[in-house]
Amino acid sequence: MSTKSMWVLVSLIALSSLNLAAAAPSGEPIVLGEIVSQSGPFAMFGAGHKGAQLAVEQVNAAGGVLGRPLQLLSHDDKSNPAEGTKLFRELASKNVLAVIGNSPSSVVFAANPLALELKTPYVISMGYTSVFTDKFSHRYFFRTITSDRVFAYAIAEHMAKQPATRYCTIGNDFAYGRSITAAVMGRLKELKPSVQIIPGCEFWVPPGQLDFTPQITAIMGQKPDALMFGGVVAISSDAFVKQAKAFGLFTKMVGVHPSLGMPTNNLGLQKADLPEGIMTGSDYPYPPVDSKANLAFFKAYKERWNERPYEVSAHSYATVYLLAKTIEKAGKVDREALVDTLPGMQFTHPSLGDASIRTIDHQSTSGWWLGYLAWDEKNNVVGLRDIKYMPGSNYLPTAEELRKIRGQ
Amino acid sequence: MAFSVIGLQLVSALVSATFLFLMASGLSLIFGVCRVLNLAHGSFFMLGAFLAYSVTQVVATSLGTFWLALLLVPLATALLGALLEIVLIRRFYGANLLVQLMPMVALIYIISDFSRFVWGVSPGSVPVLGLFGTVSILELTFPAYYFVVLLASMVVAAGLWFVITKTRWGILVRAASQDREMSAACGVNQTRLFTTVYALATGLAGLAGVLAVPISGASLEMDMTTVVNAFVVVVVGGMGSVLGSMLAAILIGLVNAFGILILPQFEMTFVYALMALVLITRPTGLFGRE
Repeated sequence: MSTKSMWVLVSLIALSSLNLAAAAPSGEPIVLGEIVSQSGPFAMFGAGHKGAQLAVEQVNAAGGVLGRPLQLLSHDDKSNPAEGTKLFRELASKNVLAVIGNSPSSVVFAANPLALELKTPYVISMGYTSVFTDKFSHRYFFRTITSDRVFAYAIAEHMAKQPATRYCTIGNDFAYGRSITAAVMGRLKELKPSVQIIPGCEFWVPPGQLDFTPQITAIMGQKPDALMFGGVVAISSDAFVKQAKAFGLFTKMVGVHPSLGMPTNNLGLQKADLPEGIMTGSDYPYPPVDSKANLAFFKAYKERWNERPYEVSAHSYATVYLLAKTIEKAGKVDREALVDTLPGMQFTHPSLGDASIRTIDHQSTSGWWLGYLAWDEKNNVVGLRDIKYMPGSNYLPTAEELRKIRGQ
Repeated sequence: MAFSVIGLQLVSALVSATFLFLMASGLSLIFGVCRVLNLAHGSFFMLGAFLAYSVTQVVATSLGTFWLALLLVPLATALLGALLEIVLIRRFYGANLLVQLMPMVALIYIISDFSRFVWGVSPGSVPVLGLFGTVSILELTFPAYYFVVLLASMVVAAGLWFVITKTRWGILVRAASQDREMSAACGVNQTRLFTTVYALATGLAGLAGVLAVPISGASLEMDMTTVVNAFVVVVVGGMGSVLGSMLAAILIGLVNAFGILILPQFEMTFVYALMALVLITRPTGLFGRE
C-alpha cells in the first residue's frame, strides 16, 4: 500500500470512530510531526502531547483546516538530544508540514540547526533558552512561549521595588543554573545599584544534589535579606524547598525563584512541604487563571485526559491552534508558505492571553505570571497567590539589542 | 568567624555524613567480601525512598506510617538484594571487572524503568519533617528530624561494629574479605555468606532511602547522584573497610561544610581534591589494604 493511500485509510478509520456532526473534515489529513519527551528525566513534558492532541481533536470537530483534518505524528525523544535529531530527520523526510516540539533545551539545541538544513519548520512550545531566538534564530525556527530573559527580567523588576538589598545566591552548577542566576542578579543590580551579593554567599551545587544542610546553615549565618535560588531546579529544587521549610529559612529572608510555580517544576511537593515567603512565577499558575479561554481549556483537558494540565499542555494546545490559523491564512499546505505566514500571527494562549509571533526573532510576546508560592486548596496542587501578569513585550529584546547580541 | 557559625556547620557536616555513611558502608562491605562493585547500590536507595512513599500513601502520611516504613522497607530491599544476588550477581564473582559491570548497569536500568512504571514520572513526597518539630541550637532552629537521622546512623554504626567484631558471622565476613580462598579452604559456606552480606548492604541502602525521603523526596534520578557520592566515600575510606567508610563520610561532610564557608564558589572541588590527595598519598584509601 502506498503511503498516500495508507493515510487515507488511517484518516477514514479515525473519522469513522469520531462520530462527528455536520462539518466533518475530509480528504488527505494535514500532518504535524511532534517530538516530545515521553520518557527520561523530562518525561513530564509528555503532557505536551496531550495538549496538542486535544487541540487537534477540537479543530477537527470544528471542521478541520482548509476542510481537511489535522493529524499528529508523535514520537518520543527519550529526553535525549541524539534521539531528537534522529527523529527530526525522520519526520522531515515524511509528509509533515511542520514539527512541533515539547522537549528540554538540550534536544532543541541539537534539532534547531536541522530545521534550517532540512527546510522544515520547527515550532517549539518548551525550551525557554533565549539563545534559540537570538543567536541561533533562523527562518524555520519558532517558539510559541516566552524566553528565560522575560521571567528573569520580570522578577528582577519586581524585586527591585522591594526593600531587600543584601542577597545570597544558590544554584545547580550547570549552564542554566549559572545563566539564570547571572540574568536575575545582573538585571537587579542595573535597576537597583544598592543591591549586592554578600561576599562568600554564592553557592553552586552539583545538579541533582539532594542534601542542602551545610548550605542552608551557611546562608542563615550570613543573614541576607533575600535568597535567589532560581538556579536550583528539577530534583534539587524539591529537596531544597523541603529543607528550607524545615529550617524556617524563608521566615527570615525572601526566597526568589522565577519559575518554581511552573507545574512541571514542583510535581514532588505536597502541602506540608511548602514554605511561605517564596516570590516566584509561572506560565500556568494554579488556581487556573480566571479567563473564559482558560477555564474552557482546563475543563476540556480534564474531561479528555482525566488529569490536570501542566504549562506544557497549554503551550502545545495553543501551538496547534496557532498553526491551524496560520495554515488557513496561508491558504495552502506548504512548508515555505507556513514559514512566510507565521511571523506576525496573533494567537490566544489559555493562561497567558493574546500574544503574537514576533517578526524579528520568531518568538511569542506572551509573558509571565508572578506571585508567592502557595497551596491551591481546590485542586490540591502547588500554586501561586497574589498573581500579577508581566507582559513579555516589556522585557523582550528590541531589534537593536538583537542586532548587538547577534553581532550584526 | 563567629563560634555559632562554626558550631552550626559542624552539626550540618555530621548530618550530611550520616547518609554518606549508610550508603558507603554497604558498598564497601560488598566490595570487601564479594569483590564486586555494586554500582546498582543507588537503585536500592531509590527503591527504599519510593517504597517508603508508597507505605505512607496507603494510609495517610503520619509519623506512625513513617515508622512503619522505616521498619518494613529495609527488610524489603534486603530481600530483593538477596534474591538478585542468588539469581544474578553470584554468576559474576571472579569475572573480569568490566564483565561484572554489565549486570550492574543492567540492574540500574531495570530498577529505574520498573520504578517509572510503578510510580510514574512525578517525584513523591513524604512530608513528615514538620511533624518532628524543631530543636534550637545557637540561635538557629534545627529540624529535630535531622537528629533522628543522626541517631539512626549511630545505632547502625554501633550495630555494624558489634556484628562484624563480635559475632561468628562477622568473623566469617572478616576472614572472607582478608583471604577468600583461605576461608573457603577452611570450609566456610561462602555462597550463603555472600548472600547475607548482599542482603545486609542493600538493606542499609533501603534504610538510607527511607531516612532520606522526608528530606529530599523520592525521584527517578536520585539513584545515580547518590551512588557517585558513596563511591567517593568508599574510595577515600578504603575499599572493604566499614570503619574507613565511617571516617571518610565524616571527613567529607566536614570538608564540604567548611569548604563552602571559605570558598563557596568551589564547593565541588573540595571533596574531589580530598579524594585526589588521598589517592596520591594512599592509593588504597585511608583504611584500605593492598
